[in-house]
Amino acid sequence: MQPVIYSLMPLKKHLHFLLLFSGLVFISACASYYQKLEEFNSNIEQGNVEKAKEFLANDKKGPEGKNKLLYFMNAGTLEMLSGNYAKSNEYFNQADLNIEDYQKNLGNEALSLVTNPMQKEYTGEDFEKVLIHYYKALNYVKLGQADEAIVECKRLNLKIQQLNDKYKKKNRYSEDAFGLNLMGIIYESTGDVNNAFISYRNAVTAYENTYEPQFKTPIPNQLKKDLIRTAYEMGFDDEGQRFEEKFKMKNVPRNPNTGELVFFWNNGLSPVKAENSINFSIVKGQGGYVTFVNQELGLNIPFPISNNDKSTGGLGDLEFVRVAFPKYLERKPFYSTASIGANNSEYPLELAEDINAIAFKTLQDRMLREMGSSLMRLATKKAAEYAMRDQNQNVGSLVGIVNAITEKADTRNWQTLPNNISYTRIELPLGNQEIKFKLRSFDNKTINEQKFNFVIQKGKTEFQSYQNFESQSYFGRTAFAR
Amino acid sequence: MKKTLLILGIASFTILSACKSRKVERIDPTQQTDLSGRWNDTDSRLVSNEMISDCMAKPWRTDFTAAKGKKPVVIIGTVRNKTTEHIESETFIKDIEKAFINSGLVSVVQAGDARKELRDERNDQQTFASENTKKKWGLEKGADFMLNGVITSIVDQYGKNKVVYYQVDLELTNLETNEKVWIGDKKIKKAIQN
Repeated sequence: MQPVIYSLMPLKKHLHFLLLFSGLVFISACASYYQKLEEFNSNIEQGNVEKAKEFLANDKKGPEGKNKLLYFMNAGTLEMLSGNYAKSNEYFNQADLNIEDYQKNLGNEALSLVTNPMQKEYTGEDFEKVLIHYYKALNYVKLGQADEAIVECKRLNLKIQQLNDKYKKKNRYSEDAFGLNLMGIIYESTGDVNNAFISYRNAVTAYENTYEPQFKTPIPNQLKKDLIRTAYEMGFDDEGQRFEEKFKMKNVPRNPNTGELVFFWNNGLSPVKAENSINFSIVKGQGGYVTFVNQELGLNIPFPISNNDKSTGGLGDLEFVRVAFPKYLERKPFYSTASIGANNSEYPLELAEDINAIAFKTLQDRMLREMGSSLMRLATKKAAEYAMRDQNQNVGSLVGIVNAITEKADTRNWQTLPNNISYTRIELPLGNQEIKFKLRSFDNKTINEQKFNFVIQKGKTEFQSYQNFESQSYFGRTAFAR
Repeated sequence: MKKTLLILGIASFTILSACKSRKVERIDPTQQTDLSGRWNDTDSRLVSNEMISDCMAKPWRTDFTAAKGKKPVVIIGTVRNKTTEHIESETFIKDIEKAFINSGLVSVVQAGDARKELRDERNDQQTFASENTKKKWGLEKGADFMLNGVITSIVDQYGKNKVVYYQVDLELTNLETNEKVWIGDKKIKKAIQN
């Protein structure tokens, strides 16, 4: 009897770990966030907004779980696309408050440390947080709620200031030129020319300093015109002249007997995150440090291994590890340019925000910073595995398998955003006006034409946004042109 | 083994534990709180304090009363913002208006959107109000002076240091003669170190 009891003892001792670990396996799945939402994403990619909305409506856990921010952002986008601007803003307001009130849940942080970062609440990429206000502000404008639209501008400004303060100049996305430009456009539409001028001027600086060098998005000509016009309208003639010289263009004063249309084109779909594994070999150093080395990528990351007890192994025994990081996969849009036919002229739309470029660069920036926490996560898990293996070979191996399964990257992102945003401003005669919006494919073989009608009022600005989903490829799959 | 126990122990303990708690407290509105270095309530208060004391002490008011035998009537024009920040001039302009009215020495009349709203209401009264309660047209008090101004700023930064200089200029102009009767300014310089 004695030996049996003896051999059961360590198993019993390990039982609660086993239970905990097997629980963790259930929480982790192998698919990326995009793949988990395959049905939802294919509906979006085919432009089937109603079907995608049905999918969200059936997601009962959506508004409460760890991905609630994504749920609200997706639901808000879809309602906006269906023209339900008030409903859309209900969702976006929830997303906005969720970001504002977010507090780290220490439990989930710790859980994510022993499993994977998908166990943490999704808190949004910086550019996603800014773009919520793009949709919200346009929704309010569409609803005729100018004061609310101004509130959005102010909230947008606070977000952009937070961005500046958070990164200073260390980050490639330290300011949002498009957000500033949008603020100007909305301020101007409400008659607040002074604040519009300030926003336009700040936007020009941000395009110059950040968007052009980092994301290859130069200052839109429309923005230059808007800045010069508002400078003169405010009576800041010195500023007006300065920018006329700088941009080599003349002020075109507003014709008081016309109205305006500002048209935003949301082209294609944002990139999606997938998992990327990097292998590190571990070089043991002096004084309680090990260095994680990947020669291919030229990475050398030192890591402290305090309390390294030789008898129990731990990090010091590791030789080789695999770490999972997120990477973006582009969904290259099908259309390359667009223009508007009105007043017997063609007005090209100009790129104002390249979401795809921003996404790739910000992730690249974050990579090194995230590597620290990824390695921390891995080290914690590996240390446990080796300690276990020291005690009991079988249990240790089991923990090793669990660790391999749970090593995952956070592949969540706002996947109903467009690939890029372009816009233009057109002066139109009063009354009923029809415009032709034309989309051109990269190969110039396909031209898609859509007609829009507006009732143009004197001195008023009409807003319209248009989203198309067509892409050349989705998550590695080639799409067929439609 | 001890280490494993510790790690897992911390993990399972924290899973059960709640979020960090948020703390909110009300503080004295006149307390100086500088967080980001941008324009804030303290700057606005410094401007209104300076402007009120200077404007009430200068001779324009007593000169006018001596010449015309009545208190001056002021209308608020625009305060143009030439800085790189969105600054609400209303916060200090309202303080100045309040000081004028409460002193009993200067009158203030409505301007802008609020005046338009009043006129709309008076217009409605002509149709809907009873004969003896409806208000007449053409009895608005005409202003003697207009207050307007400009906010400018100069930002100088190098590395982690930044100096922001704000200058708020307010002017009071005689509406009949275009004569500037008072110019007040407030200069604020802030050094911000990151």
